Amino acid sequence: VRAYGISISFVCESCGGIIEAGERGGARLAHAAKKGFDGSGLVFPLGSRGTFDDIEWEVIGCMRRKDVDWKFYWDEYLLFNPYEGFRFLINSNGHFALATMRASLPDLRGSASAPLVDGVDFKLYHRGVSVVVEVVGEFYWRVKIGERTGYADHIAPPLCFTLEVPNFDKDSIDPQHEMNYSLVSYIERAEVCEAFGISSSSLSQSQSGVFPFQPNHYKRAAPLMWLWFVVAAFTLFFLQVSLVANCESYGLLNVARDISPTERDQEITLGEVTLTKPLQNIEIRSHAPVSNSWVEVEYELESLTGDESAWISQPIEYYFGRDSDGAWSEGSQSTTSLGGPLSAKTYKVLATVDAQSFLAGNPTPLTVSIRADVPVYGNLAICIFLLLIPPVLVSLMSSKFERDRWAESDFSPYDD
Amino acid sequence: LIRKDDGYDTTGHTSLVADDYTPYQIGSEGWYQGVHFGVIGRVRMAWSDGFWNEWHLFFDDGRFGWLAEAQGQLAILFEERSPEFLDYFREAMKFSKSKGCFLNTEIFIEQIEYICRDTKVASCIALEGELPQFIRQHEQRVCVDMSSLMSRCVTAEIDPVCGSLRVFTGEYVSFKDLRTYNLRELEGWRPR
Repeated sequence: VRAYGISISFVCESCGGIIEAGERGGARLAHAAKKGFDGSGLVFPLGSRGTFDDIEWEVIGCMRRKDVDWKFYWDEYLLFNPYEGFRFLINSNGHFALATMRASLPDLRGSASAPLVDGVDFKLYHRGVSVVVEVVGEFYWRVKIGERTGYADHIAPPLCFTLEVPNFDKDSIDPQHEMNYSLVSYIERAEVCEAFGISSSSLSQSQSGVFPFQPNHYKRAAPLMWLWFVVAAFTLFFLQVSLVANCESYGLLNVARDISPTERDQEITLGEVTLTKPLQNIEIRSHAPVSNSWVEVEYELESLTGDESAWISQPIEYYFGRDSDGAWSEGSQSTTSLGGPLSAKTYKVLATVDAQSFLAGNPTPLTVSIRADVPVYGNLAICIFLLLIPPVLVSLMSSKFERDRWAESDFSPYDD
Repeated sequence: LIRKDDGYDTTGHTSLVADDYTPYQIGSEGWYQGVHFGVIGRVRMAWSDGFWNEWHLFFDDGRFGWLAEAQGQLAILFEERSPEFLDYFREAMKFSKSKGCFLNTEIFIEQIEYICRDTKVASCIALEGELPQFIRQHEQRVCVDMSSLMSRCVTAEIDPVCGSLRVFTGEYVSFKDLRTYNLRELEGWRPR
């Protein structure tokens, strides 16, 4: 006996017989031996100790209960500390929770399905009837195998407020019936292992499903991720604005000339450009009046000192026609490309041209425009798109978690 | 022993208080709402489904009170002695009979709503130390426990024979709240 003078029911680990303490001393065998819990098979054996919130608790009893209608089982370990009283460690589907009996009343505000407890709003999750199927150890009340308890779970993750009606043998809760209240707090498996000093492999049952009041970590993370997104997006936006404001976007070269077939695949010098900023990009815009044909231009900007160069390849193709779906077109007569960065030097602009018209011996007109230090907006859009991915993913996962949580409830807010 | 004007009378003997796993003992001390108290007596109660202790307290400000200890739940209670209060309580609870079920009966005391959570017939099985009045062993009482939305609570005791009423008001407290010391040694355990 671990809580003598307090416990009144004692269930033998070996034979399952229940002995009850009498009101004026003595004891009686209240329930004949019945094969019950195999005490050695308990996740937390009787007498084992665990520490939660700096309070050490000893396992003195365990009760397996079953929901009469939904047929699911859970274990309730009775924990004792002579200074602090009792707690219940609940193990269901590999999830854990710690329950504390409450003496104070909940604020029902006229609605039993939405109690307010210590300023926290709870939502009704499940109403049912449980039955005790197995017991072992000692208890401060008279345990009975087969005892039915009406219960209603109200959740506000990671908390659950449970209302219980002991000795429940009716179809509905009688308002004149005695009620017990408890506040239950979800505990992560790692915390339970740490509390009892065991490894997670000792918890034989693996965790399955989402527990009714399991905290939704995605929900907690999502606002923070959105905040980061907003901060990062604004930072990038202002960075972009300042970069654009500093762009001089100056023109360097405008050339228009016909390229003859004899110049095919020859290096043609278009001119020279002088870059004045320490570092800048360059933009080359090429225009050729192609029509159901193509031109391909390879540009090379080579510094006069020969130590720096950049290559830009530009295919220009434009095709159009009409088919059963109507008119269609593809490509463009103009192409713009970015290159660089290049440092402040003078560069020779070389072009190597190939064109479909050369095959027929015809020249191709080519207009080239080169600018330096032009503003770029595409990078901002790509960055914002990439930054959006984590918060959107986390928000979607949070929503799925909540739907999974309520999937087993008759009171789901997601039901139409 | 009963204290009288001119000395003490022996009224009988009581059982030794059966050993139980409580950390309190006569001589334990603590604090409640900033006032120091000492434990000076104890009544051990029993009912059909369990036991509890009522520890008699003497406060440094001259008040007497009780520390109720039941299944690890603690409450500090003070007796309400004013006839007006008892009349109000008796009327509000409709104590037309001395013994009965008051479950879920409501009462307002100083604008606080209390609801009856539990009614049971209990008797004192042992006593020790100094107690405020003569208590006969195995004398039955109807105990009515009431709770509020906050931590306030009320306990009423009715003598099923003569119908006399005693009412105690107070609040639930935690072990830590009371900052108790001079506690009983409990092997293998240490207070937080």
